[in-house]
Amino acid sequence: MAERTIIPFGPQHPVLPEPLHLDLIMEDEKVVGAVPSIGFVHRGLEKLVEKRDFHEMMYVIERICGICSFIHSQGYCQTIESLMNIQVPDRTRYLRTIWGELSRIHSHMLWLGLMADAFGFESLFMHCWRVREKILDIFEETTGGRVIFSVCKVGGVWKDIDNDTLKRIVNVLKVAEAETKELAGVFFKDYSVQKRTKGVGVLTYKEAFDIGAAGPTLRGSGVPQDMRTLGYAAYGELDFAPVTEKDGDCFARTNVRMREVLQSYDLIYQAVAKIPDGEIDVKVKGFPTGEFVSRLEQPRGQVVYYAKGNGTKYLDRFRVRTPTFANLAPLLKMLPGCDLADVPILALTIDPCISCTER
Amino acid sequence: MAELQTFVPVTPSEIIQSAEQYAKESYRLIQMHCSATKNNEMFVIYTFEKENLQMVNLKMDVNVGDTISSISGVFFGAFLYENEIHDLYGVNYSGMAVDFQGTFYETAVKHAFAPTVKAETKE
Repeated sequence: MAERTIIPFGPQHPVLPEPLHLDLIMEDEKVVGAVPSIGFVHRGLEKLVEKRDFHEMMYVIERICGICSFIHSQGYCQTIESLMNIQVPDRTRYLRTIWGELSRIHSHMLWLGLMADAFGFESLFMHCWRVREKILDIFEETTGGRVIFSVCKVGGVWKDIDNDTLKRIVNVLKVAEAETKELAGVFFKDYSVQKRTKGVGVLTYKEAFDIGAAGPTLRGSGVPQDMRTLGYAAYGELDFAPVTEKDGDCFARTNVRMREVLQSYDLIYQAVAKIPDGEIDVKVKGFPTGEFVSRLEQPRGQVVYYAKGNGTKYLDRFRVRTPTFANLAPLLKMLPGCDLADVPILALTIDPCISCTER
Repeated sequence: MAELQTFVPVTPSEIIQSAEQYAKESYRLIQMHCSATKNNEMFVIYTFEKENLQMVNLKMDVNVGDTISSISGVFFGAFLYENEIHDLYGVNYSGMAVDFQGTFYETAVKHAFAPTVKAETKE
């Protein structure tokens, strides 16, 4: 038996913009085990419910993550609205869906660029981010922000997008979609992409489900689970099915994300075609009481929110279980058996967001 | 359209048996967390989910310093949640798959979210 050594990976590593540390237990070049460490950037944001009222907390919650900030704010508002039995206007549901899907495109294109960069395909990285820039421009035009939008509120949204602007956005997205399809061809067929990702870090259907994997990490192993099928926001009125791949390797997880980008364009077109006219918010009276668990689909996967109200303007508790937290255990399952050189790619395929995870 | 909410009470002595039962019924663990209310009551919630998205929550009353059996032998990923609850709330877990011995989150204040700490901070 080869001698075992422990190699520290992270928290500072060229492929990781996030502080994740792994103690890799090695036998020669093969990983035989891994122990994760996080906790370098824990911010205790959930604790702020004691000092910020339930309206103000939205601005805290959307700052959990700079990539999925909109869906965090949407999830928070939906959870509080469920607690208070608030029915938001139909137009609001569609606007939230459009911003949510734009967030998915932006997050996945960012990740696909980082993935290309990780295996040394610099031009692919730049093309992915060039497409993403168009999405950020849409955010800026419709919300005023490129990272934090502050457009959601309990009971609705702060800003409307007029129908002419929506049509213009669709025209911009048609161009972005054509460019994305060209990039998809590279991701699906290029030799160097396949060489670095096929057969690496395989997670079977059963392993992925049992261990609690979320999002593309789960669907890359063939499990057709997507929280949008619960029908929140306008998803119940749109035509789509969860994107899955069967192989459960890094290539499958990459493909799921690329196909989800193309699906998001389609969902936005459908939402723009169906969005009704009308109000964008309702008046909120009273304070939250009771407890509620809600689930949404972020770009990185299922996010779970728990809120407990006590009849005052301050919540007793607001809890966020982010997709990366769920995907840490699957990462530990995928690592044994891979080469040391594959660890950065493998760690990246769960799309780790440690800032989200440590809230 | 709010999701159906199911909260089932469970005691520390029943948790392993309950977890095994949910595993047998093809549920998976999707989250655990601890909460402390303004009245200094604490409880842990275990959320399980089926492939068809059916969800159930187990709710267990706990206190700071209690020792609960880990369910990471049934649901491997539970050790991450259990270490988190230990570090933030001071609830101990026995038999965790990986025990970080209080170093999972390096907070400036030990058990920063526990009601006892809340009271001290206000004083």
